[in-house]
Amino acid sequence: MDDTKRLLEQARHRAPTPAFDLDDVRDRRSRHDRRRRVSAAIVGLGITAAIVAGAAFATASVGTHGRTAGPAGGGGLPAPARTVALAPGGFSYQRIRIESDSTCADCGVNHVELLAESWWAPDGSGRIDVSKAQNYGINGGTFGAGSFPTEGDLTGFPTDPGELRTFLLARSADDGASPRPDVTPAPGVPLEDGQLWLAIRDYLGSTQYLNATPELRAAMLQVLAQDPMARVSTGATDPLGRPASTLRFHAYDADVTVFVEPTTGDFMAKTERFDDGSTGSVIVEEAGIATSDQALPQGRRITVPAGS
Amino acid sequence: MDTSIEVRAEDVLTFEALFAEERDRLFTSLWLITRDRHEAEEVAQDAFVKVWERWERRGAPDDPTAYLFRTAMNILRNRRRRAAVALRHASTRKESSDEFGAVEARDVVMRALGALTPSQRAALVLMDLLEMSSTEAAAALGVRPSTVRVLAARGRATLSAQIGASDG
Repeated sequence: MDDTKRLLEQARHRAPTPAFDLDDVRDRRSRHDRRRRVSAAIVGLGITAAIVAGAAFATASVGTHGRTAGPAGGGGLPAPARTVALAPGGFSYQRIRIESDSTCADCGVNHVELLAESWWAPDGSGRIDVSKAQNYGINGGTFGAGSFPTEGDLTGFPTDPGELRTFLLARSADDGASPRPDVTPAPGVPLEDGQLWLAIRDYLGSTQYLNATPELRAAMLQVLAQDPMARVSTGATDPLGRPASTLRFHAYDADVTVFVEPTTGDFMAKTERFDDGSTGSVIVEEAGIATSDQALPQGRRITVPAGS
Repeated sequence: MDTSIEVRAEDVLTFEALFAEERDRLFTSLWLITRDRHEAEEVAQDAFVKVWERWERRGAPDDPTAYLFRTAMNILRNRRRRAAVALRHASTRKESSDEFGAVEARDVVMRALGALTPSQRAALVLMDLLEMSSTEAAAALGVRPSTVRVLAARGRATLSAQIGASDG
């Protein structure tokens, strides 16, 4: 990457000097405002005409066209029988397998695979042990307090599902701390629900947020399950054959299935099939609370069944 | 009708500071991605306008620079989408206004960059030059983080091969 940065820096020095200044931006903004005012006036006239024209038909329609219901979703997950809290001195352990076969116009078919174990402690220390990484950027190692590689601090995230939903939507809004691009959710589903999935997606099985605690992951899944776009099923099995509840929905150009551990409500796995034919899966093969960054968890919550 | 913009003093100062700080960096990044000075200037100015409008309506973004670059990438993506549609409907092929061309022949770095696709250049500029994380770059480009990583990896490999070929 250093070589690339050096090359890009060299290229940057060949760039011409931009020929616009603040006055040009100010003029452009004035033109935008003017166009918007004209457009608003035209739309206003159109709406008035539509109201007048539509009034004659209104009574026949009343009561037959409410808000379109979501696709049989939003029922919620069964409440977990127990939640798993990460006490001081403990390490949140996960063994994660990530695989994807993606296609895009500029990169062709690309196979990505990762098998890694991680131990994360609330003081920001821990260890990442990478067994296999193909086309996946991740740095293993042992990390002292505050140096475990993550994309952000999640300690302020509420674990009450209601509070968390509000928090995530505010955070991922256009002017929030972590704004996301708009997405087009399934027909009849409010836009904010698509954003909600984007706000949650990175915390479930992503190596960028191995600092998401079991409690937070369970709360995020509760939030997702309450969403109108999610179809909830119980009594299913995950890709490894383990008992699971599932959340299914279409968002961000993909059919997504999220597998939830029935007892603790924790994240087990996720499969995605994108409209362009790309596929991806994240499977938490094992997870739990360990007493050190060298130990495996005691009382494992999620395990690979024998013979898998 | 008076169409002049009334700008509060504190907004001018703050927005001016952002403009002064980021104009060249944003323009250069866009120029590297688009290879077109005119398009880079258009997108940069539109991005500044949008940020300014948002600033007045709701105050400064938490991270104005990140917001500016994200806005610029959204604008660029939308322009490219519209251009692709227009191209499909056009009866004749649009000639590229590739401004790297004039210097590529004598400049190995520019020639190497010219071998990348626009998406690969964007991924490299955001991640390697501007040092965004893959999540931030993905948000800016409207793709998945894994796609950004793939684009950047392919771009680095192509750059390396191009430079190696010219050395050999």
